[in-house]
Amino acid sequence: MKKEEKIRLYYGIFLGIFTVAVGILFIVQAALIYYGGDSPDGKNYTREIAGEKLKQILIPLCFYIAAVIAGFVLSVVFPVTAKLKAKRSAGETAAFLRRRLPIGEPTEEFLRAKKWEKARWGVRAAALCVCLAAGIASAVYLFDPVHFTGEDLNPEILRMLQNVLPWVGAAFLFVCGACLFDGIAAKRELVDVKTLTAKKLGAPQNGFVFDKLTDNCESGAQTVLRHEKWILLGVRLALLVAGLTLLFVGIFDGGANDVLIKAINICTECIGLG
Amino acid sequence: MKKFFGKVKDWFKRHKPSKRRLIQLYAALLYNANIKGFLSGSIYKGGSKYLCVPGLNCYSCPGAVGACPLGALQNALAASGTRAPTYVFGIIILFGLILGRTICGFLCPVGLGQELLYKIKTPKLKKSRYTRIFSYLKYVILLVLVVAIPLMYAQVLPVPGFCKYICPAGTFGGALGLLVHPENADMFGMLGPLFTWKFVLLAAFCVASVFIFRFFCRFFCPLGALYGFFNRFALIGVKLDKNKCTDCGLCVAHCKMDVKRVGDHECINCGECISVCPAKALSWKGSKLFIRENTVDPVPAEEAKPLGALLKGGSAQTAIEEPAAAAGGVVLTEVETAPAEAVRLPETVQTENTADSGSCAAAKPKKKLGRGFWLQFAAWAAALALLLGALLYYNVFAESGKRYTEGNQVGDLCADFTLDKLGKEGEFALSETRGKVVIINFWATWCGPCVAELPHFEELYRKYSEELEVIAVDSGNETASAVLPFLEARGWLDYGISFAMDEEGEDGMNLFRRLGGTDSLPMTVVLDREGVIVYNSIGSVTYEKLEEIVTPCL
Repeated sequence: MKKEEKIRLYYGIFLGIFTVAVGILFIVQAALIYYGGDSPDGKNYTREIAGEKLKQILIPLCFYIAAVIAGFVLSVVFPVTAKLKAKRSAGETAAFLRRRLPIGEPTEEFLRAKKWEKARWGVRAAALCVCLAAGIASAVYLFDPVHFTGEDLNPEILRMLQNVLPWVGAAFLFVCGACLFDGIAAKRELVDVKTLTAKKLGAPQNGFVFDKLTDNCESGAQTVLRHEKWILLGVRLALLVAGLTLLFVGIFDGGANDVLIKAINICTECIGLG
Repeated sequence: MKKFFGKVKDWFKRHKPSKRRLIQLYAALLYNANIKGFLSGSIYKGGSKYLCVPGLNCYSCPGAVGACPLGALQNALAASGTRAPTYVFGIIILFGLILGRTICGFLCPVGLGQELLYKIKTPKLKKSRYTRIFSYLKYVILLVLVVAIPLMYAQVLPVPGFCKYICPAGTFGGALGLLVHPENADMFGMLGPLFTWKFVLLAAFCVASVFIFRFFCRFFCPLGALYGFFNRFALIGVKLDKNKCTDCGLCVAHCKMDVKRVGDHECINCGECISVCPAKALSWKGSKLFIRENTVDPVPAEEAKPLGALLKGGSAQTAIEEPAAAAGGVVLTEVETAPAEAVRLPETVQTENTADSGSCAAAKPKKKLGRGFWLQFAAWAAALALLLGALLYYNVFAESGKRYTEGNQVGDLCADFTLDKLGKEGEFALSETRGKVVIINFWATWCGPCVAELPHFEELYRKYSEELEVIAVDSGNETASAVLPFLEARGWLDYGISFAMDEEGEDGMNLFRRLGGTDSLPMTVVLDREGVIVYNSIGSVTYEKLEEIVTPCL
């Protein structure tokens, strides 16, 4: 690594840690303000307490701003060239190569690549099922009015999160895992596809069978491309008509007035004041 | 020293604000043209708030001159029991159709703030497959907090889920914008765990935006999620010419958003990819009006590497190439090992992150002052005129909502008033309640905290009905025909407390204004047996708090 890159990197790490520290400082001060109030349970904001706590972090904040400015100066003195790399994932490369392979007899590499391809599709299908299941489970809770009586709002919202978040979290984690597996499987598949492709370079005219559907897929895509312009135009016109209709209906039935009434009054709960 | 100043000059040249940055600043200023609001500590209450601004900008911000589309959508859904949210749907469809996520790239103040924070020189977290997966979190937030919560609570009380629990624009522009003003010192009493949570969230978003490009936009913004549905059909945005595209992937590599291809639902149409495309396949839709030339020379086919290059090196991420003649037009360029040979990129792309440079400075041809130049000039002149007009209007001519402070402070004798009861016969006259403690609560059907606390007043009234009178006055600019069904649906017409619609007196002020109200609900005023004000504050109250205020007067 060059000297300039090292200086930039170390200073960047220092500034990153400083940024996180300033953020934590703000959060701690907010908690201290909240807990340092003058009501019997000690949880109340007052202007004086808020001002006092913020004064305490004024100096670290000034140092941080100075550090940020120094970072910019450093970037001027030690400019670093960013390298632009186009990265194609293993899956995309394998798919690209597969589409261009001629039809022929299956070989060991072809069967192995096919196996990895099936495994990838299987994991994707599983991920889709998990997402659907999570969606259905969450929707069952969300769209049941029994859970939203409004008698005690914040506990109800917390309960909703307790019931919905695990499903959402599980779905995201599963999809991340599926993505990880997909990457590994794609790399393994690509090794075999590359071997097949290399054989193509010196292969006889009857090459390898791979995916009979690829030719159809391409011509299907070309058909869609030809009609794309008209589909786009149709959708745009439909949206325009729908938008204008809804807008004018809304103006005449008082929807615009509702927007105005809400906007000209402070939404105290929107800004955390209620 | 000379060298240093030369470097500084060069840095400013490369980092001068791009047109996109200027448009972002312009939009932020236009959305918040009511600068007087920051100085007076009150929000704008004029007619321009019929219109929603395209980006995320809280309408409770003192400077805001338009409504927030997301806030309006949630409130419309929350009120969907009484009226279909057609107006807001229409506005969002039109914004999406015309601009799509170009709004995110050019017209959103929250996006601008995040991009400025990202400029702080720290290590950055690059996008990956996993960030793309987490970018779908904003759709979950859209479904749960923007759609489901307001709809499910629609019959009970209005709850704008996203605004209430997450939105950083509300915390920053609305809460902090109001709280910094000394006039709003009494608002501090309303702060509690909700504000603490939102402030912590705001701090977390700000810190994360330093390390992760557009952290809030990519993972949390439901408005971006909504506009993303329209991105494909939007009239303005970046378009890809599939005939010219060589699928080299440079556009996606250069882009900091989680795009899979240019113009998909994650693309904010910032246009940064246009100048890096070596095949000139990217341009603006409607590009005759825009002059953003791609000045990169396309790669000639004879310079493309043969297929066998794939097998050298063995990298799984190396793009492969075929001679254009043999493959029928598909040419990719190998960029990983030798970018200089395969792709002639402009200097600015290969130097430091020049997101603000906006153009390929080294390779730019001389501009001719043709039709395009004059069109741009006219557009900028019109935009500037609009901004200056808005600033002049909102800060000089428009009325500001100052609080009326005469005769409504604690210790003052409350002026007499009479209001027709709503849903019952007769009038409520303050003079007839002498000898009883009186609670006047100002509320509105669209105000969630107001609706949530009203049953507490009824509970207190039932406990002390012989010594207490309670009147709930609707001061939310509503009509009796809208409020009565609301009361009926909740069975509140059977309540012992009285309901009434606020009315303007001879002096042109309604009771809410006369008792010191401006633009926040709920507000509660408590009078002792002699009619002297003992409590006058904005913010919701609990049953315990109410009893604590009222009991000493009984």
